[in-house]
Amino acid sequence: MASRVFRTGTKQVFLPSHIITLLRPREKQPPNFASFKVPLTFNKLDLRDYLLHAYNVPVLGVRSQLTQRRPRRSKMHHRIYRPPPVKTMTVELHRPFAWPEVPEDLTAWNTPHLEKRRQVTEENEKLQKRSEKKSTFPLRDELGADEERVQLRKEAKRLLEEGNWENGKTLDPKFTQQKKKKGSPEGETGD
Amino acid sequence: MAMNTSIRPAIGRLLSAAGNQHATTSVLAAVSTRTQRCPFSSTPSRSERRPRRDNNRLRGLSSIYRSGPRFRMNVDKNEVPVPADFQPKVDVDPSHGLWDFFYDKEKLLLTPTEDAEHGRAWTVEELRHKSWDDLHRLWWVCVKEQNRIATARKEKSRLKLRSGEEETAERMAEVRKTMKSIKHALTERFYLWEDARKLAETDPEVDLSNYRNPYQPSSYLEEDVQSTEPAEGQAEASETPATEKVDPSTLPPNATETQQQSARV
Repeated sequence: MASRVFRTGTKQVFLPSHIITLLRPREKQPPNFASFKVPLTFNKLDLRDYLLHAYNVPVLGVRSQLTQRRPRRSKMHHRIYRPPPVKTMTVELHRPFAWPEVPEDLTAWNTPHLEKRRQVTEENEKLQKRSEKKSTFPLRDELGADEERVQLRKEAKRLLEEGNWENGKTLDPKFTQQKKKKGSPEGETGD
Repeated sequence: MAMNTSIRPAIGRLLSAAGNQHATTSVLAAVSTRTQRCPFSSTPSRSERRPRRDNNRLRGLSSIYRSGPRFRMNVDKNEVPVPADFQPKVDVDPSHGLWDFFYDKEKLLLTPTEDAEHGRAWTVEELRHKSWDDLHRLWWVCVKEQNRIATARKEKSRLKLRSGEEETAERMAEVRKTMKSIKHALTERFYLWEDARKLAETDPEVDLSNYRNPYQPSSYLEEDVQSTEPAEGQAEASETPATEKVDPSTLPPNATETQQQSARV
C-alpha cells in the first residue's frame, strides 16, 4: 500500500474545521497532479496526512505555493492594505484524476434574464469608465443608433414605401366599429 | 592619426608640383574620400567575433528567447513539423478519493434548484443523545460537505456563473450550524463530566485513583438499603458520566488512542 511509504504524523486532531478547496488543474497540468487551496496554517505534511486519512488519497509529493494578492482599499476606513496571501499546494497523486466536464448548457445558472442584466450593467460601466477617462460624455453620434430608433426608422421607411399603417394587432371591435345611434344603450357603454 | 597629419602636407606638395589644377582636384577628391572611408577597419581579422573563453558550445543559444540555431540548417524553418496537440484520455478510477470533492461523477456543479434541496441542520437536542463516535462521524461529514461547497464555489466563480450563490450560502450555513451544535453538545458533556468529577472527589465512596472500579460502596449500605437510598442514587449519578459518558477528547492521550485510531490527521 502506498500509505506505507511515508510515516504519518502522530498528533491527533479530532474536530478540524479547515476548508480545503480542490482547484481545477491548469492547462497542460498532468493528470497525476492535483492542486488545493489550503489554509495558511497548513504545511505540506498536514495536507498529505489530511488527504490520506480523510479522503484515502495517498500522495507521492507535495509542493506548496504562496500567492500574494494585490493591495486593495478597505471599505471600512479607505486605507490601502494587502490581503493575506493564498496558499495553494500541488500534490502528486498515485492514480490520475480528471475533473468532470463543464456542462455545455449553462442556462440553469445564467438565466437569460440575468444574462441580459449583466450585459446592460457591463455597457453602463464601460460608458462610465470612458467618461471618467476622457472627462466628457460621448456625443449622440458617437454612441451609435439606439435599438428603438433603428426600429422606428425601419418602420418609417416601410410606411413611406408601402404606405400601409398596420399595427399587426387585432383591436377590440368597439374601436373599429362605428358608433351606434344615441338611443341605444350599447353605444354608450362602448364609449 | 599622427601618421595621417604628417603625410598630408607631403601629399599637398606633391600635387602642387604636378601643376595641373584640374587633375589635382580630382586626385584630392579621390584621396580625401579614401581617407574618410577608413576610420574603421574592414579587415576580416578585426570583424571576427571575440573568441569564447568558456568553451561553451551553447553560449547564446536559447529555446526560451528563440535565438535560433547558430548555423544555417538544411531544413527550412517553416517546414519543421509541429507537434500534434494530443491529449490522452485519462480513465479515472471510480473509487478515487478525490471524487468526494464533487457531488456526482458526471455532474460538475449543482444547479441552483438542486442546491436548494437540502435538509435542516442537526439541533443540539438531537445531538445530546448521540455517542461520541456518532458525533465525530457527523463532524467529518460536515467537513467534507464544506470542502465540496468550497470547490463548487470556486468553480462557479471561475465560470462566472451568477445565480445560485444564495442557495450555496444557505447550504453552507446549515453545515456550520450542525458543526456548532456538535461542539455545543460536546461542551455540555464536558461540563457535566467536570461537575461529576468534583462531586466524586468529595464523595467518600468513590476512589478516583482506582481507574477500574472507582465506586466502592460502604459495607453498611448493603445492610439497610432503605435508609441510604438517596445517597446511593447520588453516587450513581456521579459515577455514570465518569465511566460511560466520558468524552474521549478530555481523556489523557493514551486513552484516546485506543478509542480513535483512524481519526488522525
